[in-house]
Amino acid sequence: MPPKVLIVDDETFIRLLIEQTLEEVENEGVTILTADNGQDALEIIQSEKPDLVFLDVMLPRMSGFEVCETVKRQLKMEDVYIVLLTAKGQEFDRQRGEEVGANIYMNKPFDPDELAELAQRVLGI
Amino acid sequence: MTGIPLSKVLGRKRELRQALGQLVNGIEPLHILDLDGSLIVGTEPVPQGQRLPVIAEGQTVGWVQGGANAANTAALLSFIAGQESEKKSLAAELLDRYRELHLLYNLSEHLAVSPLPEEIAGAALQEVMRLIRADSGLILLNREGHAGYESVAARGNSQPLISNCCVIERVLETGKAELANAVPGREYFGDMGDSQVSVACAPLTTKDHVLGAVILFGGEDRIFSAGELKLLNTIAHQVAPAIEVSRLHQVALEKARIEHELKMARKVQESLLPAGSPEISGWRFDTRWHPAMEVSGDFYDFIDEGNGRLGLVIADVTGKGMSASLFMVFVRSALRASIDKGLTPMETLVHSNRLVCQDSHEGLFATVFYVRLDTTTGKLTYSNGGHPLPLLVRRGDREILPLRATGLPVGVLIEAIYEEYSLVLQPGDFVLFYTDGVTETFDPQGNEFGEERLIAILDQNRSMEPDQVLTAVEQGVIQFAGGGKASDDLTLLIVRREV
Repeated sequence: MPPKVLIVDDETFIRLLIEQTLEEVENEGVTILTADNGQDALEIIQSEKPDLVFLDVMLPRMSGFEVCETVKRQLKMEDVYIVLLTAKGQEFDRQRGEEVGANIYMNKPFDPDELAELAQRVLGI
Repeated sequence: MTGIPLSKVLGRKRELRQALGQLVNGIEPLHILDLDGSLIVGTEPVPQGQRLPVIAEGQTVGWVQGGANAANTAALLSFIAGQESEKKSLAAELLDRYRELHLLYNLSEHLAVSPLPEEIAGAALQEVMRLIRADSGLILLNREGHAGYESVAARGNSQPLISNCCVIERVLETGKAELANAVPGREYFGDMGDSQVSVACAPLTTKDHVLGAVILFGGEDRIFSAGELKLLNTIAHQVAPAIEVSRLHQVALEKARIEHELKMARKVQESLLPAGSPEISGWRFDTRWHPAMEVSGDFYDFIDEGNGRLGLVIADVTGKGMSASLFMVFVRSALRASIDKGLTPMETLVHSNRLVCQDSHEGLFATVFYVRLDTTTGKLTYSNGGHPLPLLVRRGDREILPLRATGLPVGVLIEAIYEEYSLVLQPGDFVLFYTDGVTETFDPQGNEFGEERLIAILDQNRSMEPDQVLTAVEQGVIQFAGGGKASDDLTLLIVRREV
């Protein structure tokens, strides 16, 4: 089963950027999925069971925190590695992030190399 | 830019693949093939007919094979593939811009934490070399006063640059970025045999001048592209203002620190000067104190010695600025300590001179004129440590005479001896004390004000009130100097017996 990565952000250019950053892993046969709101993200996670999710915190229809909480605490999908994305200058509620079970958080603008490295590590490539 | 293989284009767009699958099944046999001929969409058997290319960005990325609809399908797929390629190009460029943005965020964080120009340059170079592959890098900044350039940041295995490296010199002069690929290494690093280097150099510029340059070096196999030079130039353009602001900030900080120090020193000094002139029945006193700079080496003091006796001190410390002002405090303390012992004026100078010589380390000294005035009898006893002689103006007497006494300035020689004399002031008599800032003022032609001119002014104003006399002297000096700023501290003190 080829690994899957889900990118969730309401800003098109961020989704495009992360996709572009992950071009190398895509060449290794990883499937890239995208969503622009929390509701759709949750549905895709349940149906596709991605290995890695980049999840923006500020989303329409359901916040990144809520999506994460649902996935980790209610659905107990432990195998989904969730990276919460938060804008610099935004007070990131680190404690809340821990409570909802996020694996790690990353500031925007993110370091593309750091992101690619994380993906490769999590996906075992 | 190579086109994306058709299989990848279709692979990404699931709905498209499904739609095409239905299209293929619905009409006549139609096959969509990848570049290498492998089947993407369609059923066996492969139909007869020509293979039509699917073209994106001028390159074939796949094939369509089939009957009448093959051409249209190929055209449609070409369009879609072209769109995807273009999107990919944009995404790649976007990623480059994003990396730059990330660099700037990092840099601004560095700026907040460590505002030193060298640290900013170091951080900038580090980020640049993460974005653009190079063997070594260097940031040069110009020295103050056009004294050439110096390296403020270096990374990688860079050897020292020789001077007159043509590309770098040109960039620093013209402010335009340049590339030099596969050029002789010896043009930059001196003896390197036949080996070559590649150089990318971008200027650090602000609105009106070139601050310096960012330079990247690569080995002979490394060819810097125009795109990389453009990126380097853009980054240099962003970094330059940060470095400039940081440098100006350092200069301003230093200036503020010095000004603050001087202000503090002046406050200390002013607090040590007498608050006003003594008010003693039958006597008039007045003073003027004009420091040349923030702090003054001149001071004066009035000391109540009890039993109707008043001590008067006028003094001038060598040097200017902080060290002079601190020495002044020291001399004042030494004098007061000596006066407290109830010694004669001469003994007072001997004693305070000893104190000062014992503790003074920097070769500073002070001229001091010390007077003990008996306000009941009018008797004036005085001793002098190298100070300009005060002038006595007696009512009725034409002549204005100096109060003569010799002695070395305080702080020069620990065994110095001093003279002591006394006279009696009659009603209407006054004495003017002054520092050498008065007599040693120069006019624009280089002539000295001198004692003669001072005596002349006193003579003209001998019947005026004490404060008017001082004003006349002040005005005389200012006019003589041609309205220029005083180069030395100027201090005046007048004592007049009324009854």
